[in-house]
Amino acid sequence: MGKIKIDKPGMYSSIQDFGRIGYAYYAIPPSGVMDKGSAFLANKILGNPDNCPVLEMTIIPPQLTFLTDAVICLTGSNMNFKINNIICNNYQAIKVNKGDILNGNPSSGSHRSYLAVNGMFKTLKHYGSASTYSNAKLGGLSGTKLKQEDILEWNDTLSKNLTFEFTKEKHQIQAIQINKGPEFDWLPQESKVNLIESFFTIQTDSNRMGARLKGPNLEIQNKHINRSLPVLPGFIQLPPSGSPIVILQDGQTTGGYPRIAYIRQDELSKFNQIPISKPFQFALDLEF
Amino acid sequence: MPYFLLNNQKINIENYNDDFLLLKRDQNDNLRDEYSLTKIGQVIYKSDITFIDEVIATDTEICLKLNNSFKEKDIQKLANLNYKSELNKISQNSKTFLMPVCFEEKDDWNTVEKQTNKTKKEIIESIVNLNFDLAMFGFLPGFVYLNGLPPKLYCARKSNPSKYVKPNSLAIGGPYLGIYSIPSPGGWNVIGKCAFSLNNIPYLPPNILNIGDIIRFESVSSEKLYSIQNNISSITAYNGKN
Repeated sequence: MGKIKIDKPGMYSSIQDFGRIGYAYYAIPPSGVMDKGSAFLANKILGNPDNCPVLEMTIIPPQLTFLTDAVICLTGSNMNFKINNIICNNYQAIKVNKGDILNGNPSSGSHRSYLAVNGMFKTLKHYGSASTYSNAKLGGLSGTKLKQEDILEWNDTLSKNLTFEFTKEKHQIQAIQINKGPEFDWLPQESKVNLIESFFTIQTDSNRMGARLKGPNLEIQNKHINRSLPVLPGFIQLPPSGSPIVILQDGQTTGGYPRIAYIRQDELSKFNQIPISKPFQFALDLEF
Repeated sequence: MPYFLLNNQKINIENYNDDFLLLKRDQNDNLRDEYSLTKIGQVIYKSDITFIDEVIATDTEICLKLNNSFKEKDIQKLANLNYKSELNKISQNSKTFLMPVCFEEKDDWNTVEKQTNKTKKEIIESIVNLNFDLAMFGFLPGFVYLNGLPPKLYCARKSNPSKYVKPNSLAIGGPYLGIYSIPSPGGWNVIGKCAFSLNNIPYLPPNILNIGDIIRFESVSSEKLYSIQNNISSITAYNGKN
């Protein structure tokens, strides 16, 4: 059995897999990894099943002590990870010895990293998933983000085949592709143009539920919707304040604000790696 | 636009790039309609259709998140479901609960009084004299959407949602009364604190009330609320349903 001790938890480190599918009817959000591609690669490189839980690390990485030997893989944001103060590479299998210490620096570019181990983390499993959803204390180690002194355990099942090859895609934040949402046409022309041509930033009060955006104030007709409407991760809502909110993996399933656009699931991983306060743009292919 | 007829009423289907479908009526439902969209959504959810990953049913729309197996012709499968028979199977055995609520905090009362043009006393009196029933699941796990608010008490959501709403807060959002179940941001106007949690997490459904169950409210002082919470463990115990 493999074991890791959490010396310092970092900013927000939690166990995630590909999330809960089929429970939105009961208002249970999917949760799961914010950057599916990076999590997938971490497992793939170690020969794990695709949906093996991984450790998701956000902006400030944790410090971990290995209590057993292990083989690990780090993907996603480059947080300058070091093992015993020696820099280690992302996107490759790394042999770690008992007593080794892994730490890193706050991310300067994209801001979510993933750590997979040679096996399946032992976690709580709720509604078919090991993903941590801390608002309702579901999944993960104890339903919450990792804390100091937590111990992560896994059954080590190292794959004999570690020869998986891939070309690492550098996370470059280009424009985020969006599609028209159900209430897109409630936007006056000037707001449509602002949505596409202006720069936005993700605000510091964003989290796994939603990203609050700052940019030009977007005007809309019918600011208030009386009834609650369905929303999915990636939906962009526009509250009357004029600042859009993007629903994310831990987000609600219904909301009362116009859904002006949506980010497709495959594009959402890219959005979720945009650093806080870094300007970005949306792109919409269709004419409006 | 594709549609199907149910009980002689049109259900329109909007397809968003094969990512999701929205099912809508031309006009808003009566919240307690026999063939309400929430009930139709319940039938679709329970039918376990392979091309649908998620069903979110509100009284205004049903959202069906599609997976890669979806083909345009699959829309016909939605029309072919036997809604009448399935709706008859859905249990009609509703339960009734009494929930103590303390309305003493300041909360969002100023906004609610201003929007409804009623005094706090008048609003509380209306609420404690009405039956509310669980309209739908939505927002977050365990959150309770309640039908039964008279139109004169409808209240628009906040322009900018609060970043934190305490669990067990009673709030008004549009035509609903709602109870927040877990800590979360929220755009509804909070008017009181319930004595008990309705959470049933991690089970299904994730709250104690099921669709059609009825809840009534009684106004209690903060001392009484504290005393109830200290002496009685749950709403089921309070209502003698253990």
